[in-house]
Amino acid sequence: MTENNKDKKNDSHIVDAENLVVDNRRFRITHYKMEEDGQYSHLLASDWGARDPIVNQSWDIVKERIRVAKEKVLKGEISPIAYYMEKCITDVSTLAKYTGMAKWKLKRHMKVKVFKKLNEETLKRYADFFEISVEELKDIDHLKL
Amino acid sequence: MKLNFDHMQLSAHCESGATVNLLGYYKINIDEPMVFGIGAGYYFGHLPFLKMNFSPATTFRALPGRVFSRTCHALGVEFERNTYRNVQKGMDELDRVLDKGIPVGLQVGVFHLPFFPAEYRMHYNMHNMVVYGKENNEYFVADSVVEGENKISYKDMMRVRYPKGAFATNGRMYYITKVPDQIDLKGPTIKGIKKTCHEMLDVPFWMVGVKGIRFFARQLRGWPEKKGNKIASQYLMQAILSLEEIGTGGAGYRFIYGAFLNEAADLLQIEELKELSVEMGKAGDRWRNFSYQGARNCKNRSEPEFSYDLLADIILDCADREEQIFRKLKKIKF
Repeated sequence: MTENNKDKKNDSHIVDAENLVVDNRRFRITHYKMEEDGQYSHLLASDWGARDPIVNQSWDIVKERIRVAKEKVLKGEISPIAYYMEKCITDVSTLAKYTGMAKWKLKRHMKVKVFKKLNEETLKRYADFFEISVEELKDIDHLKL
Repeated sequence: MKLNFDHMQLSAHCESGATVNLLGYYKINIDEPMVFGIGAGYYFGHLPFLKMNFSPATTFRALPGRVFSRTCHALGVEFERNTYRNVQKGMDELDRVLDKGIPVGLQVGVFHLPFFPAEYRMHYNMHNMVVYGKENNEYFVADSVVEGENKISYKDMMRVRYPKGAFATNGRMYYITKVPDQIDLKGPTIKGIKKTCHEMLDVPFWMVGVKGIRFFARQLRGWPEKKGNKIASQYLMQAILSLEEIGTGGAGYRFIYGAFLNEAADLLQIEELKELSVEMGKAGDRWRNFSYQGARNCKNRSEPEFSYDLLADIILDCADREEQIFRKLKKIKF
C-alpha cells in the first residue's frame, strides 16, 4: 500500500477500491503443507496457491465495474448513487439494507431525473454510508478529474 | 481492563483460531487442526442459488458458528452464545462480560474492520475474532489471522458487529462459562470424524458433500457454453477464491484436515489413519492443481488456456479420492 492510501484511511473507513494498489507480499497468513514423509507442517507465508493472479483478477473486475459506472454517470445515464455503490463494492440488496431503503426505491433513485428531486434527508442516508458529504454526492463534476 | 492474553496463536481458519484462543485462556492445550476436526468444519457445498460477488457460492466450510459450538459440546465445555437485535444492548452486554474477566468471541463483518488487509475488505460477514480487554473506549482484539496486537475504537466496534447484507451477524458473541476439570480428546475425535463422514457421504441433497463436488464439476463444464467465456472465468475465479483464499490454510481445508487425521492417528494409535492422512494430502494437492490451472484461465479471460472440461475432470478426480477416503474412514472400528 502506498503512503497516500494510508493517509486517506484515517478519515474514511472504506477502502478506496478505485485506486487500491494490492501489495501481495505485505500480508502473511498461516499455511499448511504436507511434507514428503507424510508429516504436516505449517508456516507463515505471503504467497500460497494461485494467490496473486486470483486476488489481482478479483480487483480488476471490481475496478472495471467502477469504471463503467463512472462513465455512465458522466454521460448522464445514471445517477451518482450507482457509481458510489460500485465503489463500495456493494450490490443493490446490500445497499438497500444499509440505507434502510426498499430495493425498488433504490433502483428508482438511480435514474438521474428522480435523483435530482431527492430531498436532503434521503441523500444524507446514502452519503452516510458512502462516507462522503451530501454536496460531494450531488456534484458529479469532480469525478471528471 | 486488559486480560492476560499472551498465548495467542495465529491460525489459518478464523473460527478455529478464535476457538483455540478462547480455550487456551482456560489452559486447554489444543491446536488448530484438532479443533477443526473435532468441530467437523470440513464440508463441501456448491450453491448456485446463493450469489457471492455476482457468482454462485462454493463453500468448503460448515456454517459459521458450528465449529465453536460443536467443539465445546464435544469437550464438555459450557458456553453462552447470543445475538442482540438492539445495538446498544449488544454493546452493553459485551462490556459487562468483559468486566467480569471473560474473553469474548465475536462474529463480525470485515468491510469496516480497520486493521484488516485492504484487499480482503469486502462485504463478508463471517469473520471471527476474540476481544480481551477495553481501555479508554478502545477494545483489544486478538485476531487469529492478522499478526500483532490490534485495537479498535468503540464506534468501529459497533459497526463491525452490526453489518448488513448476507449472513448479517446481529452482534453475535460467544464466551465460555464453565470448563471441566479433565479433558479427554479421544471420544470427541472419533465423534468428529464420524460427523464429517456423515456430512460428506450420507446427506441426501445433491449440492453438498461428495455429491456436491460432482455437481460442481457438472456445472463447471457447462459454464462457457451457457454464460460465455468472460462470465465463466469470473465464476471460476470466485470458486478458486473460496478454495485458496484467506482462512482455508490451502486447498480448501484439505491440508488442515490431513494434519488432523495425522494427529488423530497418534492419539488413537490407529495406523490406518496415518495412511488416510497422506491420501488426504494428495487430494489437497489435486485441488491445488485445479486452482493453479484455473488461475491461468482467469488471467486471459477471452480465450481460456485450459478447457473447462479438463478442469472438471480434475474435480471429478478429487471427488473420487475424497469418496474413497471417507468410505475407508467410515469403516474403521474405533
